[in-house]
Amino acid sequence: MKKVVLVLLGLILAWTLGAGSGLAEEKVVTVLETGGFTGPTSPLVVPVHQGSKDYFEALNAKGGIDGVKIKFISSDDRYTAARAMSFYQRYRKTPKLATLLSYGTPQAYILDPIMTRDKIPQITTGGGKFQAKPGYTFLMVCPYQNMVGSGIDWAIADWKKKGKSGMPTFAYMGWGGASGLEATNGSNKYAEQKGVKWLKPVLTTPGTLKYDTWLTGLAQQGVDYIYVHMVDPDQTFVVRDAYGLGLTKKIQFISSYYGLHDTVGLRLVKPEVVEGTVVASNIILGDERLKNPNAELWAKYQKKPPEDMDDSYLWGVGNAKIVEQALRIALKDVGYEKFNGQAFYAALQKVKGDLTQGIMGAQDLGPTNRQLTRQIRYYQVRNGKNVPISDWIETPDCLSLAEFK
Amino acid sequence: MYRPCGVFDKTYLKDITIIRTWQHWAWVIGALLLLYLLPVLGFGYYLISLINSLSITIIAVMGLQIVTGYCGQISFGQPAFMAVGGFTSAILMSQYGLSFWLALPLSGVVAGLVGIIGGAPSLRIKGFYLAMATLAMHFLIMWLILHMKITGGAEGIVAPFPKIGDFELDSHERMYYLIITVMIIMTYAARNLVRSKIGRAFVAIRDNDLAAEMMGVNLYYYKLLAFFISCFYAGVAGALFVHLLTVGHPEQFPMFDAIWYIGMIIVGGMGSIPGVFFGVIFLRMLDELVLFGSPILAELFPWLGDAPASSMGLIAFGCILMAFLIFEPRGLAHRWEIIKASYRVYPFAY
Repeated sequence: MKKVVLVLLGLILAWTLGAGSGLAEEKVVTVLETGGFTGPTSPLVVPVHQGSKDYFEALNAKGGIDGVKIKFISSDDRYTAARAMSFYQRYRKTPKLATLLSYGTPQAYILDPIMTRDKIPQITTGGGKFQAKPGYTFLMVCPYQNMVGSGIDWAIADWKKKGKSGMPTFAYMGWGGASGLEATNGSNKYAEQKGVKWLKPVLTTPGTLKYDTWLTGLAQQGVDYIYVHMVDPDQTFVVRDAYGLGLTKKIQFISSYYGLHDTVGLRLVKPEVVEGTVVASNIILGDERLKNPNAELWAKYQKKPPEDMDDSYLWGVGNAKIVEQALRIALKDVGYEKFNGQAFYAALQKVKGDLTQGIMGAQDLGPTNRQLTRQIRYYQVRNGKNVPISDWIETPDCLSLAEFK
Repeated sequence: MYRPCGVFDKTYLKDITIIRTWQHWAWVIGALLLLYLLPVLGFGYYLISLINSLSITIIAVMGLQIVTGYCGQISFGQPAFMAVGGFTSAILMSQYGLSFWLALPLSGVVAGLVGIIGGAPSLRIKGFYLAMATLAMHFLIMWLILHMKITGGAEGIVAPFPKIGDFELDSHERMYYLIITVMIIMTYAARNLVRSKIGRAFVAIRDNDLAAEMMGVNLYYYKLLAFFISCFYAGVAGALFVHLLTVGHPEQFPMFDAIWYIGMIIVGGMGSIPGVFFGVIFLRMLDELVLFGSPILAELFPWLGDAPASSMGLIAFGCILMAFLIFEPRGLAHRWEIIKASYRVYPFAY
C-alpha cells in the first residue's frame, strides 16, 4: 500500500513540476469576466460570455497575440455586487492582469473605486456616470440615458412620418434598480427639451411575470410610445401582455438592446404578438447576425445550428475583439515584461475603427470617450424576425443633462 | 458546556463561566493570537479579504441567530437592515462629518430602531406570515434607499475609510483588525446575552410563546427587543461592509442573501452561537469553492458548459440544506457538541 501511495505521490509531483515548467515558458495576460450566469441577467450574460470565450480560444489556438496568450477567467456573480467583488479580490493581484469585463451596473458601481485604486480598467455595461466622469471604467454600450434619448428621437421621427400633429407621449419601463433608474437620468430632460410628454417611469422588479397593471395605467394616460429597458428574460413579456390587452395596435413599443432576441423572446411567442416592435440594438440582430463572418465561431466551438446562435453571442465576440486590439496596442507600446493594467488602460483609449467587423458600431475611444461604441441600430420585428430599419446611428447626448454627484 | 473528565464546577460563578479551564483559555488565547497575527504571518491578501467578508457575515448572521435561532421569529429582512446600517454610517460620515467611531454604533442603533418597526408584525403574526412581513420590509427599505436623495439613489454613496487619528484604515489588511475586533466583541456580547435573563426569555418564547407569557415573560417587549438586537448586529455588519468597499449601493444587499443567512443558521445549528461560525464558514467556503472551481470544472468537462458549472453553487446550496434538514437538523454545532462530549469522557470510550 505504501509503495502505491509513494508512486502516486511521485506521479503527482512530476505532473506538478511539468505543469509548472510549462506555465513558466508561456507568456500570458489575464482577462477577467464577471456576470450573472444565473439570475435575472443570465439570458444575456451566458451567450455574451460564450462569444468572448470562443473568440479568445480561437485566438490562443492561432498563437495568441505575437505569442502572448489570453487567460480568460470568468465567474458567475448571480448579478450580485458582493460576489463580483469577491471574484475581483481573488484575482486582482494576478500578474499581467489587463482588465475585467463586468456585466451589470450594480457590480460596476461597486468595483469602480477599488479598480481605480488598483489602476485596472473595467469594461462594463452602460452606466452613464462612467462616461460623464471618465476614469478607469469603460462602457461596452452607449450610456443607458443616451439609448433612451435615441428612442425618443426615433419616436418623434416616426410620429411625424405618420403625419400626426404635435408631439407624442412617451413612457419608460424598466427595472427599479441601478441601471433602470439611471436610464431616466438625463433622458427625462431630453424629452422635455424636445417637447415630448414624458410620463412617470414605470419601475418593476426583476422576475416580474405580468405587466398588465402598469400597461393599463400607461394606456389610460394616453401613451403613444413605450421604451422598455431591462426586464427578464427579455422585453417580449411586456409586449406579450400589451398584445393580450389589445394595446399593441395603439402603442408603439421600443425595446432596448436587451430584448426581443431571436433565440430568447421571439421564440416564446407567436409572430403576431410582437409584430412591429422596434428594437434599439447595440449589436446586429436577425439574419444579419448569421451572415457575419464571426458566426463561424459558433459552429466551430458550440457545435450547434446557426439559427440557435443568440444575438448576444456576437456581442461577446465584439467585446473580445476590442480587448484584443487594445492588448495589441499595449504590448506594442510597453512590451510583455512591462505590461500591466495601466498599459492596457492607456491602450484602450487608442482603440479606433471598425474592429468588430460590423457586429457593433465603430470604435472611437479617447481620453474623454469611454464608450466602446456610440452607435446603435434600429430593427423592427416582422414575421417573427428582426429586420434592420436603419444604419448605425449616433445616440444623442443626454448625459450632459443628467445629474451626477 | 463540557469539561474534561474529573473537572467539576464548585461554585455557581464557575458554573456560568464561558471559559472554564486553563486549557480552554489557552485555546482561546492561541486562536485569537493566530487571528490577529495572520496578516503579519504573510497570509495573502485574498485570505485576509475572505476573513473580512466572513467576519462581516458572521456578525449579520449572529443577529439573525438571536431573533430566529433563539427567539423563534423568522426574519428575511437581514440584508435590508444591513443596508440601513451601511447607508446610515456612510451618510453620517460623508455628509455630516461624523467620526466613524460614532457612526458605527449609531448605524447599529438606527438599524435596530428600523428593525423594531420591521418586527412589529411579530406581535400579531408568526411563522410563515411573519417571514412574509419581513420580506415586505426588505422591499420597502430597498425601495426607499433607491429613491431617496440622501442615499445617492441608483448611484449609491461614497463611504470613507475609517480613521484612527491621521491613520487611515484604507486597505483590507488594515480594516481586518477593526472587523475581527468588532466580530469578537459582538460574539462575546451575543454569548453573554443568550445565557442572561433576556436570552432565557427568548428561548422560552421560541419554545412556546403561550407558556412563556403564562410564566410572566412580556412577549411584546422581548420580541421587539430580539428584533432590535438582531438589527443592531445587521446594522453594524452593514456599516463595516460599506466602509470596507468604500461605497454603499442598494444592490449590495440582495434579497437572496436573506435565504443564504437562514441557510447558514440551519447548517450551523439553530440556537447556537458556535453554530453561526460553522454555518457561515461552511456555506461561504462552499460558495468560494464554486466561484473558483466552476471555471476549472467547465474547462475539464467542456460538455458541461460555463453556465451549468456556475450554477453548481446554487445546486450545492439547495442539496446541502435539504441534507441537513433531513439528516442533521441540529446543524454542525450539534456534531461539534458530540465531538466535545467524547473528549469530555476521554480516555474512556463512553
